[in-house]
Amino acid sequence: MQFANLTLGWILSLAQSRLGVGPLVQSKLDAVTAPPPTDTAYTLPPLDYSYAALEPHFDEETMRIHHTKHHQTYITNLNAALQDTSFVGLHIDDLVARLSEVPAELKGKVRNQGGGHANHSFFWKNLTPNATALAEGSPLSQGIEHAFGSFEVFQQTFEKAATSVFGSGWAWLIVQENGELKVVTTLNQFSPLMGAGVVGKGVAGFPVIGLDVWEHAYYLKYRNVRPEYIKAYWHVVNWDFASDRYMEARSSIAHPEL
Amino acid sequence: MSTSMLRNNIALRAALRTAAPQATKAFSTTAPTRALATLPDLPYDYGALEPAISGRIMELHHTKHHQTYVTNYNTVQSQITDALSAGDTAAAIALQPALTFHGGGNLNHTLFFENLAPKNQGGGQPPSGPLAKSIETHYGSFEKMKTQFVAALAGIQGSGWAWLVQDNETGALGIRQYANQDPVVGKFSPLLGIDAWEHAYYLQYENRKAEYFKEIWGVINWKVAEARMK
Repeated sequence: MQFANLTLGWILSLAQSRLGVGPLVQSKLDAVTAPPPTDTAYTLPPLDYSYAALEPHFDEETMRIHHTKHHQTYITNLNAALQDTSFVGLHIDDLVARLSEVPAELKGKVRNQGGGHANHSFFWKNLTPNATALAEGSPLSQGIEHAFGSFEVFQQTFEKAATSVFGSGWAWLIVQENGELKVVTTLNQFSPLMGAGVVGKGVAGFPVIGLDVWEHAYYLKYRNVRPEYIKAYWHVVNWDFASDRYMEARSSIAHPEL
Repeated sequence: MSTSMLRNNIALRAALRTAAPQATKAFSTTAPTRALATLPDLPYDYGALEPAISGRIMELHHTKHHQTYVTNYNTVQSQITDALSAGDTAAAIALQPALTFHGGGNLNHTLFFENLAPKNQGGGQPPSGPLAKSIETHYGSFEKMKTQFVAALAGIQGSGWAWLVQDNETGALGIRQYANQDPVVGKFSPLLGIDAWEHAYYLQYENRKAEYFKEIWGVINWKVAEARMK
């Protein structure tokens, strides 16, 4: 119980401290997604790139439908569920970290729809048409080597996890409360940000990269061949954003183990 | 596309399924044997369920998705057999999720493709015998049952199925949601299933699953569902 509260507190503070991108990504973008207005309902965040920009790895049609239909539907449903409640105006990462505070009759809806909004908002930032390799010697690269032995082993671990999700879900690289990196999976729209009380001690943490393995994320182009989609993902991972996330998480840990 | 002469004979195919070839270990006399699953043929052409379900979806659904469950189910069987033979209880138990997923996937899709039919083979014709009576008893009317079934389908989070089931003890009908590939076992028996995984409709309906849940009623084989009643 104590550990669960610690993890939640740490995740909450991370969620509240920053809304957008870190210095590395900031310097490469002309326009930055503005934080959502705090007194109104959630809105669909625009992508930092065109729907076709991730071709040939992620196809344009999937990106368009995924963003304008699937993600939008989560937002629409979430807004409907939260209407006239005190949760309106919370940043979405804050909301999903606070699931325990949501009244019982709304919890399922907020978990599913709020999780969907949080996960997809993160996902779009996690992708980029200008992917560059993770710099060797960078803090995240060192963290990955420490946790997995090598970047290659990390990739294999992530691919295996993403392949073995039985149904709909996500694969994540997270920073745990002790500062260690770990590959985890969640089903449906559960998020590691929801904390140990919701996803369990082993899955709770701060996402650094994440991959949607719901069929809608890849079916039009890859059909049933999820492993091909997973391999394509490596071509569009935004390692700058991931590095910012990693630094953010690590800087808020008092005594990181490394 | 399959041209097997067995395609239209559901009873014969079912009998052959239960008598599937046994694979035995070469040297052991006490090792458990396993029945290798094979992909059952569809009783209709891939394009026969149009416009409700496209031929492209039916072909992928059958030759890729269902086939993969069959293949992986056989692999899991092999792994469990090996673990049991070696007396490795922990390893056998650790394979349970994989068994549920792949074995369930095989079961579910086998039943699903059997409970669909083209219009010219009775697809969409409402039930008329004992099943019709039972539906009236439990739901008031066929339309009311459909409304509940569609609500169950629409309410599935992530991947899963909705089934019209029969309570093994009381015979009562029920509509239940099953996550991922969890099969209808135990307290209930499956009468009619509808696949709500995205692969079942995405190429044709994209995210508009409500449309799929509406159109599929035109190709439901209620005769097969009734034959499953106890």
